[in-house]
Amino acid sequence: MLRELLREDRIILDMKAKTKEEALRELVDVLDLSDDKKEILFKSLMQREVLGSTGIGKGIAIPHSRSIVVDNITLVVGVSREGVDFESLDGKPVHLFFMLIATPNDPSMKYLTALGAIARVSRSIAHEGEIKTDFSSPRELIDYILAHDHE
Amino acid sequence: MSKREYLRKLYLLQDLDLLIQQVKDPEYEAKTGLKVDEERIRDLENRRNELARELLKADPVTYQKYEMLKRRYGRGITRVVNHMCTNCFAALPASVIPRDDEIITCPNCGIILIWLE
Ligand SMILES: [Zn+2]
Repeated sequence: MLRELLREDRIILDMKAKTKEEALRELVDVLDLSDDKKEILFKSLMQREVLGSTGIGKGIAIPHSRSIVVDNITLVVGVSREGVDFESLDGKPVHLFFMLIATPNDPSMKYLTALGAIARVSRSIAHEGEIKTDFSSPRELIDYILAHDHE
Repeated sequence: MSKREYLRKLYLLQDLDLLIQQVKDPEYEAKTGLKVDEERIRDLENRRNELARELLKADPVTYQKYEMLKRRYGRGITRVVNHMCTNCFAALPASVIPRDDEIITCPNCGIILIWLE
């Protein structure tokens, strides 16, 4: 499932963001969308954060939303070496972001299964302790993620 | 309220509806492990209902259409991409174009159409 969603052109190896807003904007910016659509998507992601941070702890966050602006279920992965204050439950800065966007039409099963797969990989990465942040290429990051994807 | 503004707000309502539906799905917490604050969901539902009342008052026909479509398809508004309805995937007749003074629906499935640049 994750293998199909991970794309080298939807990876940020060295995020500049320091805050939640900046991080979401930086992740959204990776997508080839008009400014109007980016704004709609950003607001939708922020709306979700109001219900409780998607920072799941141990340095990982999985911001997600359904949005009319994308044509297909879309995943962007970002790495922050410095870490971002994402208001996570454990208060730790976030180093690894998985942003998942589904269309309003994607079946719940597909969307939740993708989110579940991301949560599982995140737990597996977190379980190791320190999150790796020094990737030299998008491919290396994708391989790192897939290596933690044990179904 | 202009039709354009109405459509924007209706679209916002759909966003709220999708979010509420998502976090209330029992599978959501089970699959993601994410906990959502009940009280904040209630706040969100209150905001949703306030917006819904405003839209019902401004244009009852369109609002009720939205609710009916939501029951039928799980959503009331869809985007037009390449002159195609993204709900039923029918190609739209050339005469179906965005208008500032009218809410446009798909001639095939009836869903409310939105064009985004
Ligand atoms: Zn249609």
